[in-house]
Amino acid sequence: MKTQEAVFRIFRFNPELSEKPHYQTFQVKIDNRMTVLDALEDIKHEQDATLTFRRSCRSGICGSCAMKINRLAKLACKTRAKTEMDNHGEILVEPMENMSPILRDLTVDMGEFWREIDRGTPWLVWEETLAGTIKENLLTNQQQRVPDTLANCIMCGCCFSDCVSRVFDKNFTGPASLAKIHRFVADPRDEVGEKRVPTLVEMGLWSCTHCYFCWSQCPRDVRPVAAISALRILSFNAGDTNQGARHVRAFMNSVKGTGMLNEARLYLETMRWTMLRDLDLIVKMATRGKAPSLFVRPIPKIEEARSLFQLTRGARQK
Amino acid sequence: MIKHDIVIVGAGLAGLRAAIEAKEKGADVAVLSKLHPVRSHSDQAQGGINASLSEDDSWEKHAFDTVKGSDYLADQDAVELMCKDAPRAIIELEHWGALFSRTETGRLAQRPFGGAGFPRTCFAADKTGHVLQTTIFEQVKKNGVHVYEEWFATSLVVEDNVCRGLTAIEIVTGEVHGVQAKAVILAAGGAGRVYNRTTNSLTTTGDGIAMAYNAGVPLEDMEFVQFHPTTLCGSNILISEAARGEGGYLVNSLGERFMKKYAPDRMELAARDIVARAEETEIREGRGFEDECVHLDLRHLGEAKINERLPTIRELAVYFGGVDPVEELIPVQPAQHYTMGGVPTGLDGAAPVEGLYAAGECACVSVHGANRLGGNSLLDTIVFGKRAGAKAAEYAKEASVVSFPDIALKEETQRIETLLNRKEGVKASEIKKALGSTMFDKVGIFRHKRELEIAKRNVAALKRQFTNVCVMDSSRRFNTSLIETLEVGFALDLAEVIIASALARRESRGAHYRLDYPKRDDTKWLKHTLAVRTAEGPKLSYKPVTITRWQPEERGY
Repeated sequence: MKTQEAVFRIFRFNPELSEKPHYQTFQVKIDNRMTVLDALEDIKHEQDATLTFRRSCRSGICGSCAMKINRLAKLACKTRAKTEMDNHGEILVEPMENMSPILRDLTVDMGEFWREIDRGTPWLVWEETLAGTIKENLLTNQQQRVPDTLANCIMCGCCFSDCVSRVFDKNFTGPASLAKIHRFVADPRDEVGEKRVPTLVEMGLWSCTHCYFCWSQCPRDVRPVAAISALRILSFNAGDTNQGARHVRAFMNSVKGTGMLNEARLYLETMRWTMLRDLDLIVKMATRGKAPSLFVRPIPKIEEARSLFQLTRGARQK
Repeated sequence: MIKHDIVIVGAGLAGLRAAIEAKEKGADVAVLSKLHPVRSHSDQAQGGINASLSEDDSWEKHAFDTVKGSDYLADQDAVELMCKDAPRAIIELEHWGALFSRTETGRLAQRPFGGAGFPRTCFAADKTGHVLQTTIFEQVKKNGVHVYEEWFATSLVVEDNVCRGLTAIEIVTGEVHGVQAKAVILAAGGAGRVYNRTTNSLTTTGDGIAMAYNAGVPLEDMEFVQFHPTTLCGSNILISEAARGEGGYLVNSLGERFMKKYAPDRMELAARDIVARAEETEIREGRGFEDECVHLDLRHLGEAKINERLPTIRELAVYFGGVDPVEELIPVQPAQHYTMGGVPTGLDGAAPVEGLYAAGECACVSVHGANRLGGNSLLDTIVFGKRAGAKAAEYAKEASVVSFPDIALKEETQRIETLLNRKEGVKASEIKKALGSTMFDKVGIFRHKRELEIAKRNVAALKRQFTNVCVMDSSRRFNTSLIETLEVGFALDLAEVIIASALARRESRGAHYRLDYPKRDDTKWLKHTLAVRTAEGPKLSYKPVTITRWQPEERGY
């Protein structure tokens, strides 16, 4: 098989030796099949035994070897070295983000991630009507479809590492945690079920900015952001009056009412009295004629805009 | 000094099931694992878990298939117990939230599996281990069991034949701790990585079995090593038996479904030892591909069925094998898969040392005998994990607090310091590489006295090299090279036991196939091997097999 020289630039940090991290470069011969993990193992065994990283199954199911490869969180065992080399000209390997401290080289303390998972009662709550019997609950594959997809999560931490919202909002519980909660909300056996939803506002349900990194970086195609959307719909329909829910409601009302975005009302309905904090800015904008009008004239074919709502609702039900 | 009533080594299915049970019985229990629990090797199991759930099936049929699969070496009282308890154990997991695949009517679906006369393998697509490990870890969280994550147990502390606890390295800090316990449950998995060609994770290194051996516990039936017939050529990543259970064919380079020559009735679904030998024979006689693999054909199953029932297999084949099973044949070869032998235990998990228990792959009850059936290992973990947890809790309640000899901690700390401070020597990775190829080439699917003798000499030489092993990393903090070095030490001890046991057993039974003794010999060898550590190497003795209702007969599929 054809081989080539790959350049690995690896984050090195051992607090026992130095307070400052540095980057070290290694040359590794790779072929078309080799994964980044294969190469790291080669480096450890042939060049530098002190290189430290976690790994176990080497087949993408245990979730040990999550790390940043060319700036995105990935499983090293599911990332082909050649592809990274072709796309970036080098293979930059660093520890995951949003978790600290870094323990050594590519290993981070994942405690923060696990504490977030634990915030959500991450188990099936079921006060066994069938307990002690040898009878299973009757469930169809269709009823299990959503929880089944979400249960593919291997808790590798890639989504948490690359979550943009978590950087700014430490109260945001993160994509994996919400996906895990939705796994139980969507499970017909769970007795708490949708009653889990009201507690989610406090866990930052509305903090997600829909950047979709958790979708793109998930090695198991769990799509946490879709779970977050589903939870938001449940929360919204249950009468959530949180700022996030108000924003959605105001957005909807504006488009339904005028076919346009009424920015002033969107702002007022979302912020309510907290707008007072921005009072000086509002006054400045108003005096200089920059404030948007509170009144927006409906577009001529408003019925067409409204029909979009019917369409999306129909699509969602499908 | 850390103290608990019960300390469980290993956080896979057996360990966690034991923990839940012991906790429910009121014991102060902690789990200690070198990995975070969800990273455990149980997570990698794919195909399923057996139970006679259908009205047309029965625990007796399940037990008979298991005994026959074991080539009559399994202890039949243990097999009976496991098969009777199987439906309860599986339903319990469903009640805990496990997402099993279902039938049209919403019942648990079951698929055919190798060596089974009835489709009795429950499954969660082809990620059954992941689903069960996740579920059982959720219950551990719910029950509030403490887990020492990323702690590596290095030795069992036994004095006057009573277990006192263990020593362990806290990997993050590198500190060596003494852990005092009235009872220790070993649930640290199999020893797959003694072989270079294995489906097992890089961390499945037999630590628990080796710790018991080093503490003077005899090891049972270590010569019985299962080779799985379908692993991806090269990487040896597992392609579940479910692929054949759902109807996959094995073909050679002449395009023949060669299993018709070896197991005309059950074809691809004969017991694993038989299919693995058939493949190896085809390859050795020149009917393989590139002299190293045969092909697994799933194309006729169609894309829809493959996506529904075998999604992981498709993903693994595409990603790690470079072929899409919907359109192409998958190159597969046999590789080490399961350790049938291990720490001998009674039906309640008790090992021959007071206060010591074992469960799961690291134990030998023995329900698998000379060859395990697919779908029986997950079952073994939850049935016997629970029993070990219950028995250990009962024992801990009665037992008085035992003393932990300080010298044990001092000696272990000293041993590890010496390793860390050695400036030059042989790299553990080199020893491991040599050991792995010796074991696969000479103590593999086909064995012969001549080859086994060479393996024995090779391993002895490697053991000598190991006395001068160098970690090449003297940091205390998160020293994975140190852990790998200690693992290689364990692997060498186990390799020696496997070889000695295999050399002595002059017959062919189940997974142990001797070219120089190709027949099963019930008069002389219907017995379990026991290997105990001595200064001169493993010393062997034997114990009888428990036979209740199934007399040994010839095994055909």
